[in-house]
Amino acid sequence: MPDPRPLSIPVILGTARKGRRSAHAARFVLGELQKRDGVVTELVDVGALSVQLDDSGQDTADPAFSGCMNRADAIVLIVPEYNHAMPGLLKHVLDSCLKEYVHKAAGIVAVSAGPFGGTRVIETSLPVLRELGLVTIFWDVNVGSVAKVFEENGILLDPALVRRTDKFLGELIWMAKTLRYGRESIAL
Amino acid sequence: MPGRPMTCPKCGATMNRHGEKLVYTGETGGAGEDPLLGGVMQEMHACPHCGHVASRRAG
Repeated sequence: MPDPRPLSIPVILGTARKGRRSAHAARFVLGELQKRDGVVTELVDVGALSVQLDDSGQDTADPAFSGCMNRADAIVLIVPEYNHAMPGLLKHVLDSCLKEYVHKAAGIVAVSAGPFGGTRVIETSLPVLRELGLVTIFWDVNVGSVAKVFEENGILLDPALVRRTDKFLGELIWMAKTLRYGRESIAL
Repeated sequence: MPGRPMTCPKCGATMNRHGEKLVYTGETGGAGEDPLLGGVMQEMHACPHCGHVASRRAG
């Protein structure tokens, strides 16, 4: 019997920098998720969270962020590549929760100004997500040369992104359904 | 071995223990501390009724 509860899959915009082009990718993925039946989504902007900078770790989370992660069945991380790694603010925010993530699916949309599409930030993010208990999928979305993929106003210039994102979300949703069943029905 | 079931703080249903995580923390002593592994074991629970997730120290 299909689960009557929709899957919750928030999109986390992982940078607060001024002029961030990752916001275009976040809004695009959010829109693609909103087209999916049985999925509810929302945009989480790390720049809009109440972040404690003098503490870290479990139970220091912004309550809204913690609640969103608790409800989530999967998360999409929109991650710009800063010196081969995720933004420090995103790492700090992610580290503020733990139980909220365990056995939930995670997919990465990597964004870079250069041609490599954030491949290096994906590689350096995977062990972080694994340590948090998230289950990473084997599809990514690479948004390289982002200024050629989105206009300054966010209009999509590269139609191939639609197809790649469709495959990515298909895998993420499959994993989210599978892991929800496991979390709720299979005892350790 | 599973311990006592956890009750969902949100809806009152019996939760499913689906994971354990060894957490290295500055806090020592008390429930869940595993001296062999050098950290505190946390149990992860999920509610099959409302989906809420929660954790507690093992033991």
